[in-house]
Amino acid sequence: MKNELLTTAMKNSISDVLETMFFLSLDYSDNVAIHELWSTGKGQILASKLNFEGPFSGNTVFYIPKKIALSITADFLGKDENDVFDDQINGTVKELINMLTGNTFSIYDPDAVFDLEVPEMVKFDDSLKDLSDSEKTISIVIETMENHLAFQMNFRIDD
Amino acid sequence: MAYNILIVDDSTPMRAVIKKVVKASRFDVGQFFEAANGIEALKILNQEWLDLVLTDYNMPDMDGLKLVEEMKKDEELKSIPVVMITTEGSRERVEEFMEKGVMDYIKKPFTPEQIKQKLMQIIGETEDEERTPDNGDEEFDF
Repeated sequence: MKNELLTTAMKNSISDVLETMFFLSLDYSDNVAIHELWSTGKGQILASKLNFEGPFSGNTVFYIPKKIALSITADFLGKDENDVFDDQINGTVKELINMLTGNTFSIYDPDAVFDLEVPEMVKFDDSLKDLSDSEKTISIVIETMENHLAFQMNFRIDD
Repeated sequence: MAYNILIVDDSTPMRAVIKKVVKASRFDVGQFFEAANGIEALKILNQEWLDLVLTDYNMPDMDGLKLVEEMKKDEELKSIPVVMITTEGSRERVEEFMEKGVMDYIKKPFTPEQIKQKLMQIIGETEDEERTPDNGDEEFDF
């Protein structure tokens, strides 16, 4: 039951965040493994990770093609894409996972308190290695007009 | 009256978004100041005249709540209204914000309308008063 509620909360959070603030038109894909998403190559994939502690503990990971992150960041900053620095792009990607995760927990249980750590950037391949060791994972794959994003939650099964 | 606003967030793009949204909300802003964490914010607060602080909660070095605690210890700073802009939405966490002296909070993600409504509540003005012909709304591009 927790998995179903969390999956719904994650999807609602994605819609809230990406459609309200980032104006991305979205759809969801089922039964697609994250490691297969970009296997045909659609440019560099950025990944941010956020650890959390609360009624249950674990981490979330957000995957986004750099091209999309660059476009969003340039729009936010009101700059040409050529004038955007990598640390600014990373700032957007870290903010995205912060919003997605916080919003997920607010939707999942408004009375529960989760402590969120400061988000960090991780290498795409390393994050996939982490996943194979995780005990419980919920993955949401998001389709945009021309690419994919993914939001994943990993948590300890004994929680 | 134009208000000087300090935006505190460790994300440069998010500071830009907040600034853009506040401008789009037609709130009367004098000058924007920016800080990446609570420590930088306190330095600016001690150097500049600020009317309002909009701060993130989850930041490295000094988070938003610690910033509020430090401001409340300072006679010069304790009356400046602080609004927490945060992904944290649990009732218990919001109560904690209020107990520590945060005036109000805005949940991320937000819209320009939500930002304006909150800011108006805090400053104690109504939307109608803000939109009188003489208040210079035309200066804002939204």
